[in-house]
Amino acid sequence: MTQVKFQNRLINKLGLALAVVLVFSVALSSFLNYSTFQKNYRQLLQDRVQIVLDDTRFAVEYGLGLGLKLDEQTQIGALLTKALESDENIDAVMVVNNQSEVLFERGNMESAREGLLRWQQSPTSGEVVELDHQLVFSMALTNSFDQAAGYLVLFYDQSEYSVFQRGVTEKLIQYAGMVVGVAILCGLLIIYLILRPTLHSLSRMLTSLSQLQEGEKSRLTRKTATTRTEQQVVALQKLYQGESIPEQEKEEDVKVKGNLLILATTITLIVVATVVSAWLQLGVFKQELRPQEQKKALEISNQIAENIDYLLDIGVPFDRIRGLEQEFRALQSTQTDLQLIALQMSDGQLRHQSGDILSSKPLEQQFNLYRQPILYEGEMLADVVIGIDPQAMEESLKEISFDILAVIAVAGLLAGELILFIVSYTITTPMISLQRIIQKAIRGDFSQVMDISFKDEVGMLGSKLNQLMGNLRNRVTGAGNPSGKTRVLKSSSLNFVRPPLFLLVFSESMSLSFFPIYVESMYEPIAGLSKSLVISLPISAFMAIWALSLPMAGQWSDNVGRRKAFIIGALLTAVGLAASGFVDNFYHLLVVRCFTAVGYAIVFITAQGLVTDNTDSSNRTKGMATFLSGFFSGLLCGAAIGGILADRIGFDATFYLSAAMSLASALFVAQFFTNKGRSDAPPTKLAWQDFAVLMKNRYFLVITLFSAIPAKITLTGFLYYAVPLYMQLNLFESQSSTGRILMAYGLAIILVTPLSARIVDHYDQKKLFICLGGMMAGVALVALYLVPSIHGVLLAILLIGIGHAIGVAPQLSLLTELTQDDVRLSTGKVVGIYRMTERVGNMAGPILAAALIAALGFNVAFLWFAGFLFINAVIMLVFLTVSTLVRRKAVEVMR
Amino acid sequence: MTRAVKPIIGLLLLLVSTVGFADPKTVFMVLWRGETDAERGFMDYLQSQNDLDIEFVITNANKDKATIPGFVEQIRQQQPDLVYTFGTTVSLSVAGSQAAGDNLGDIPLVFNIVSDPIGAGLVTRFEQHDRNLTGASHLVPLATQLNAIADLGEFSHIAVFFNQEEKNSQLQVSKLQSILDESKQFKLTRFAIDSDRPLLPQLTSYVDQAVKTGVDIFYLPSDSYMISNGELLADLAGKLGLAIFSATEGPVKSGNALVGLVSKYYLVGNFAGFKAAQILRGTPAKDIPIETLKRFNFMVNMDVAKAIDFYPPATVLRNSAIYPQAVAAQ
Repeated sequence: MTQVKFQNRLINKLGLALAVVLVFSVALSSFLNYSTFQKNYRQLLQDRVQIVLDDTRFAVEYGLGLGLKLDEQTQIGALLTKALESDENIDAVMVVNNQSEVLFERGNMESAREGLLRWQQSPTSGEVVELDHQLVFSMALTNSFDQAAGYLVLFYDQSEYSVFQRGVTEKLIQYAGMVVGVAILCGLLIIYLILRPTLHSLSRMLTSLSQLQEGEKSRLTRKTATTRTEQQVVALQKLYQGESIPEQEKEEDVKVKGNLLILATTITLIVVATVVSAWLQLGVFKQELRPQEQKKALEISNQIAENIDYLLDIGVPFDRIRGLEQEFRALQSTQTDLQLIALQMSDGQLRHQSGDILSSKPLEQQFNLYRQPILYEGEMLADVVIGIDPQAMEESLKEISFDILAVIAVAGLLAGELILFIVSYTITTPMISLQRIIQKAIRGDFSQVMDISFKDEVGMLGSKLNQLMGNLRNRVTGAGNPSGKTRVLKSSSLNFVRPPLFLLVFSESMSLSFFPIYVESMYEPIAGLSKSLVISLPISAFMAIWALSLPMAGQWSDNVGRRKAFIIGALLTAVGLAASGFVDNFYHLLVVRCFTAVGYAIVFITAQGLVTDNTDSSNRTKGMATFLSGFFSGLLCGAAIGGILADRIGFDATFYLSAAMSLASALFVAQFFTNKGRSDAPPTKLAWQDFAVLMKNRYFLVITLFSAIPAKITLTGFLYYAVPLYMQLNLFESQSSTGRILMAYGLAIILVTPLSARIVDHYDQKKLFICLGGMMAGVALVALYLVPSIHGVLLAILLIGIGHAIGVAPQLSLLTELTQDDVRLSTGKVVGIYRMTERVGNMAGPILAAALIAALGFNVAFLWFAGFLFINAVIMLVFLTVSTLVRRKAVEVMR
Repeated sequence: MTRAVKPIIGLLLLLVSTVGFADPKTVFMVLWRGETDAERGFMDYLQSQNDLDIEFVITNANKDKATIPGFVEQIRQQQPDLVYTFGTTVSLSVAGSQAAGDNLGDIPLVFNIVSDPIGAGLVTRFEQHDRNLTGASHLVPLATQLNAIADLGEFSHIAVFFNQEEKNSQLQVSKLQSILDESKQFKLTRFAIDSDRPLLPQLTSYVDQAVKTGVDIFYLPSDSYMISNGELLADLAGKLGLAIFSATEGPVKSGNALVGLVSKYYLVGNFAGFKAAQILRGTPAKDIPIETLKRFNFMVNMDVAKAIDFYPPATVLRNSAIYPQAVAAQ
């Protein structure tokens, strides 16, 4: 008996996929956590510097209020010295006049020179200028008539911060790495357990084939065979041994058990690893923020003590001091983490308390408490107590919890894509090939051999099979006969197209949440066009070029082959996206977007072509569904991640990253796709004649005009154009939340489409569903008009998603059904022309939305839009009902 | 490309502006009682503007209204770039009332220390007044003074004492009444003093009456009779531990009032200078609003505070000029 040694390559591949998604999720969420932490740290630092600045400004402006000019206020020198000494990281602090001449200065002027020059180029107040090693804070000093008399400029050394930052980053990477490592180990173990039966089966089959080759008796028999493939192997044994073979059933799909289980395991691990690493990181953050917090508390209590000193100096008795709580409250209103500021008397009583104490527990247990005694002329008067929110870091992490959720969701979808692909590429598809080859062999055709790309379990089984097939050929044609030609059965599957399509749509959609805002940032007036119309142009131009290039791109893709077409399309898209980030001029952007649209069109039509190549009429609908769900899951992931990134790394960098993803998509195709050369599918050529025929068909016209085009107008006009603008200009929401909201559309489509398809097929109420879908989009916009908030937007987008999910699929099948009487039109042609026509809606959407919004403002525009959708839906309903009646009557008359 | 062009344009602009720098401007000043802090503020501000080169021509009416037509004649002959006037009398005589029309043709004018430009007839509105003049008023708006009283503590009822013979006082008090009628910020009781009868008995009975009706703070308007007799009211208020809010500096400095909110002449002068600079740089005077300062000075007398055992809140004290100054100097 031959024992075959397995190298567990299958599990390696799945392990790699697991690692990729875990690293994606944990790295991205760690980045989010870190940037939140950084924001908090920076805030603490700024708060502290602000206290020093405010204190100094107050004194200088007091002098201005007394009529002292800046250069006359000799006390400023002492004030600056005090400010300088309040923090060892302050390099220098100075007062400059309106002509940017330095009047007073303290500290190391040499280190402040570069910062001062930068600041002098455009003197600002309140903004922080960031240099490599230094932060430059500035504040206007205003006189009694609110004119700037000069500026207070402070230079803060950041080098300590950089060192600190590096330390924290290292710790974070350690923790994240640890968590990912443990998760991968756990994942591998579980996946191994899930895959064990499959691996066993592979091993049994391989052993059996080896035994067959060496003429031994195999233990695998008709009775012990448990899977379809094993049965095929048994049949091959019989064939090889010259026994008769029972009638074979038609081949069927092989399913590898544990497919969903592996996915579930991966997703569980993603959630656990992300949450655990966030929790560990929170600990690091809190520990690292503590010293900063302490410094800030000290700064505040020093200032309070000084103010009290002054009041005592001018003769106010300590117990007669009033109104400190007002000053404390003012401080709290700008620094929300300050939960308590008060004076505590020696008997423990709190006075001048600002902020609430909610429980009777000791203050130390309720807050991060800092105290500082007030001494006056040797007497201990009271303690300044400052309570800082111990949950401040948790609170700010909670703010990004939606972002983290979005990351987990995207990682889950990514895991789905990857695992689906790997299982399909390494197991399912080769198994189908194996079965096909055996089946052909049974029918006497030994010419086919398997394509062995990997030396894993399946690959070894394949090469063993190939050897056996060789033996069989030799038996038939005589040993050594060279005329025994072989043909490699190329494995390809519908599932292969999903990952690259997903990646590419992902990359293109990354700008979805902010694109109109990005356009606005480089807005240039165009005579005769309103601003909102100009902003809509790049989206409309993209849609137009995309739609116009589709037919040509399709033909070209048929000619050069899918692999080449996809790679070139993805490369063009990558270049276009990178350029979109690079340009800073409206017209350049317009050109670059049109360029990107060509690439996108090539990829889009090629992916569709791949679906056609790999399906026949029996499973094409299912294939298109695979294509669409890949498309929408890419869309929603891209929108969400793009928004999250744009908030943190800016628009340009997000575009660059998206270009990198397009590149990855091209690489993927280059790596895993084989070029079949010309497509075997007969190309559906469209002629003008076909257009003419269809345009005369009133069903086609009505369905396209009143259902398909309005749906596309809603998609590009409302979702792509109006929502990002509305979210950011009217609701002041971040890019992240825009991205998450847009995600709802893709989710609704992915989740509802399969359900609605089943329901539509079941009840055969296509017309009703089409009209219902249109109505729902209308209701969505009315809802937004009534609830003009982020909840309204979410509701509207969900409703539109559901409306499109239930309305768009039946459009096509109804159309083919109603036009099938016309002999001149094949289904392919009808679908092609229908798709081409509805793209008019894609182009018109942004322009229409922009014109409406410019004329009426967002809210009223939504209402008008809703009215437009209702009217369309009603026209559809009336037309379809009447025409059905007419048809029925016609049928009756004919009888 | 554009990046390379920008510095060149900048350089050109610099050249143009240095050419403009060489052109000196003349400011003709008509004063009422010699140089005050207001003029020092005005001239200091203009001299601190590096892009303006200014020559000042200073004339002084010496409190004699009859000299003013002579100055107007001089202005018409010299054709200065700008005219500055101090006080209501000089400003009205030089500029003419809104009804009479511009006296100086196209020479712009900036007035200073005019307490009520509308009441005086200089303009009918503070903005878009359509006259070739603008200016600064030293008045602290009554609404601002009332807010300052609210900042001091929890007061609800103000008593105001004024000389019924003084027109200016009557005007202030009725304005105060009309503001409070609308805002309901405080209750107001008015006590009109007859300056022909002895003051003390009147005050004693009024104060008594005030306390009975629940008055918790006294307001001392810009009323020369009441200010010169401030000690009497201060004594009565002190005995009752009541605070006096003064509309003018004097009573706080002399210890007859606890607190006041005032404009510094020097700063009002700065403000007038700021407006003058705008005109000299090309903004038409009619487009520049007539304004009071945006921030005023609290004054607090700590001796009074100690005597009535009432100390203004921390924020007010930190923003105040403290009297007597020996205390503040500590």
